[in-house]
Amino acid sequence: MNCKAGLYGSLLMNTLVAFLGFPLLLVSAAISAFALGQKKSVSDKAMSVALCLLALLSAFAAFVKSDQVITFATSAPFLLGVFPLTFMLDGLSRLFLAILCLILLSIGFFSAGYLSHLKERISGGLYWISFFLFSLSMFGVVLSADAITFLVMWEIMSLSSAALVATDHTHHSVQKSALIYLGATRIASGLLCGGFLWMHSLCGSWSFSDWSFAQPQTVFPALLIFLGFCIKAGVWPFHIWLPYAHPAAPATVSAAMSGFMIKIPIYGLIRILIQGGLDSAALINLAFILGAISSFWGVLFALVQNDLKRLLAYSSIENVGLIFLSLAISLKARVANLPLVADMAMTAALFHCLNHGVIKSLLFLCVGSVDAQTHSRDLHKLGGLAKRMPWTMACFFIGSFSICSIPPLNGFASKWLIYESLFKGTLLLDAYLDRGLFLVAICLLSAVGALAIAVFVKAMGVGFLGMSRSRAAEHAQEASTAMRISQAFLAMLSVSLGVFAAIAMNQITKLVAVSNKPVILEAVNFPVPTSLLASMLVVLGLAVYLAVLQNSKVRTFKTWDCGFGPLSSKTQVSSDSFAQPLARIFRPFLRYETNSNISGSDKRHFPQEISVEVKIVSILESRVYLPSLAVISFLARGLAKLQAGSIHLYLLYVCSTLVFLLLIGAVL
Amino acid sequence: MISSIALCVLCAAVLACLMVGSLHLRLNLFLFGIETLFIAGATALTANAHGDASLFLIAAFIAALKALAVPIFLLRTSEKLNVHRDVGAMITPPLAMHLSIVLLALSFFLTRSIPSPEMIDGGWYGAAAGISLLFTGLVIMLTRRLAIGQILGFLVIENGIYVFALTQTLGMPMLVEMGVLLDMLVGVMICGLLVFKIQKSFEHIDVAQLRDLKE
Repeated sequence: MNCKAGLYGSLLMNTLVAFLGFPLLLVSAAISAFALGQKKSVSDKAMSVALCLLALLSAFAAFVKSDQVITFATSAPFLLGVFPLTFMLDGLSRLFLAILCLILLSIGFFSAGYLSHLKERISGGLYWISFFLFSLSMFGVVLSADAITFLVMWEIMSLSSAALVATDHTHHSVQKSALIYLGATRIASGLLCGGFLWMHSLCGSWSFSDWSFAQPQTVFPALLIFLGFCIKAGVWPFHIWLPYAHPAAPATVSAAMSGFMIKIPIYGLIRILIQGGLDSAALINLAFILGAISSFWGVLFALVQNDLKRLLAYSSIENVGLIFLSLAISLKARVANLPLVADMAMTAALFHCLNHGVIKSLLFLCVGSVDAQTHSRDLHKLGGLAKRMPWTMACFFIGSFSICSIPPLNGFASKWLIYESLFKGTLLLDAYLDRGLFLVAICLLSAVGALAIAVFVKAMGVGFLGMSRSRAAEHAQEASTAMRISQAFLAMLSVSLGVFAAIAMNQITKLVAVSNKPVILEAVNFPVPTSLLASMLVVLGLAVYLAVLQNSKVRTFKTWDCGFGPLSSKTQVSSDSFAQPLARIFRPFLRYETNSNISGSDKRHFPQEISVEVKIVSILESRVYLPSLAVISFLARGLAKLQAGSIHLYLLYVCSTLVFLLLIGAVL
Repeated sequence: MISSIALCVLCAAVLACLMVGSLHLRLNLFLFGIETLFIAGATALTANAHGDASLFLIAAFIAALKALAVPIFLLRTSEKLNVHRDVGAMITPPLAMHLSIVLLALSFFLTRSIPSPEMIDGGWYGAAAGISLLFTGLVIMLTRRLAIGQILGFLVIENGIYVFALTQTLGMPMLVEMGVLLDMLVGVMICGLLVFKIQKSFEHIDVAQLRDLKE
């Protein structure tokens, strides 16, 4: 047995080396191509194939023996100073690796076709180097078993993703977005470093498995780590960077970032805090409240966006909020000793990570095809794409339905579980305060669900249906076959994860149980009636078709134009007008204002020009972040005066520091 | 009774303080030479007291290179550049000299608690002299505007570090000492060349005007 394990260990090491070495080779090839200045010589197709291979190989390496916890520490030359890099592959990391591999695979299929549309604007070498670094570091973060390895991989991930956000860096807005994103990741890394150092001084070890958050003195390091993860996940009020970074990045990057990167903080929370036995009520309540607020805030702001990618970014904030909420439910139930509710909520969180990863990357890839064809993501310039891009439309619709949790798609399954754990918790919990919180959360979630439907009806209806609002949208072509395959793959995944949700969840709970510290105590089959609903829908649809639609004749008409002459695309519902009724209700949150201006000599009867302007102000940005940034830059300018450029002044600093330090030494 | 080694290094420290008081390059270099000779003497006395033959060699090298070759090289450089007197910066030389004397007194206080090894007598004086030379070197760099003054200040700092090491550890191994001396010599040569280059490019060697290196 031992011998076998050793043999397997060496085999795994070889695979690891192979699968780390292979892309490194590619990266070095890309670097050399870039260094030679032959930017065009980096073949997007070859790199896409390499990305797919990376995803497949690593999925194979991770799942070849899925019932064991495998640990691996680097030996002598590959040390970080004196520390070995330690990695661990258990059920939890396998689950996240699976999500990552699925997303990378579809991105690999999508990239070549998509990038050919961006040829003039981006440098292929730089893009592919950063993308491979980004992918590999995400593997690294998920696999790391100690704080140092985690931080190193986390930093590589943050920096390479910032480079990816800045891919199209000639635009001023992209530069700004990249800087905002970089700032956010710096603060997150700083908080994480603080928390990790603090935990190291308390526990005397860098290994995550030695950290225990059950003592009261670990609340503050836990808070630091929690806040660091919140920033990276884009939870309210730290979500500011998300709606900037996603529109600026290429669609493939947004898909990877929104699909997987913002799940890494959630992985970190589970790996570090939850497996560490976090039981501080204050922190759990904080997670609960922040999760609830960001789900509501995200969907509310998504409603009033006109840029499709910004809309999707806000929707990501909503979904991350939901995941945080279910993690908090799970922790609350665990502290209250309700293992069933705890496991249910945890399964919901993990399953939603998978589902949201699939759906969000699908949606971003679809928007990427639209963007590649029409060179616009602005809903005011889209419309009428249903006839020109039917495949993309179908995939986008499946993704939208799924994210609105329409049964039997996968978004429904995980949200069902969240609801169910909330209801069960409300009935079973002892504390009245917690019961009240759960009830409020149920109400909030239903509001969020309704708003999400509004958001995606807007995205689907204004973006794809009706008449084209611009010449580019009118002449759009269907995306290339490979791009369609990648979208269809994710859409199929979304459907099958929904229809066979029970099986999927069963597998997830089984997988996650493979760990030294399992996050799910007992793998129970949670009943989610998606298969039943799906078969009912199919039967119902067939019945309706057979009974009603089969015999009806199709007649073609022109839409009645009330006698005004041919309808123009301006007469359609626009993105702003669709959002207006709901936005007016939530005016205080959105700072929503419409200014309409009608001009003409007799403007009551014969208006000559009508212009309507919609204004939304993000209070958080204008009232909190900008002033604090101004204070910081003011202080920084004061500090910069120290750097006068004068050698004499610098010598004075050195001299006075020396005297000061020696004085301290002499006095103490 | 104060030991002769301590007397030597304290003389060096006092001479360094005198250097601060004058802006004449020739006098400064002369004082620097005498100061370094005192340090070489202290090295020789240490070698004598502990019977360490290699320290004699180092003392000879210091006397030959640091006390003679370097000042002569810098003197020639300044004559070629046709500069004989520094302009002075920040504070006037008499005030700076008094400041460095105050710092000499302060360094006795600062080094009070540095534990010195048993076999060394007068370790406290040596440490104080070393730290004082360090401060004096910084004061020289602070109060000189010409690049040659900066080199001189730097050399005094280097002397201070050497004195500190000598009186606290009985000197470092021969190889290290030789390496440091060689580095110093090369450093001075390069600085001399750079001064020429600066003169050529900017038509002055006034470091107070070289303040573009900032954001």
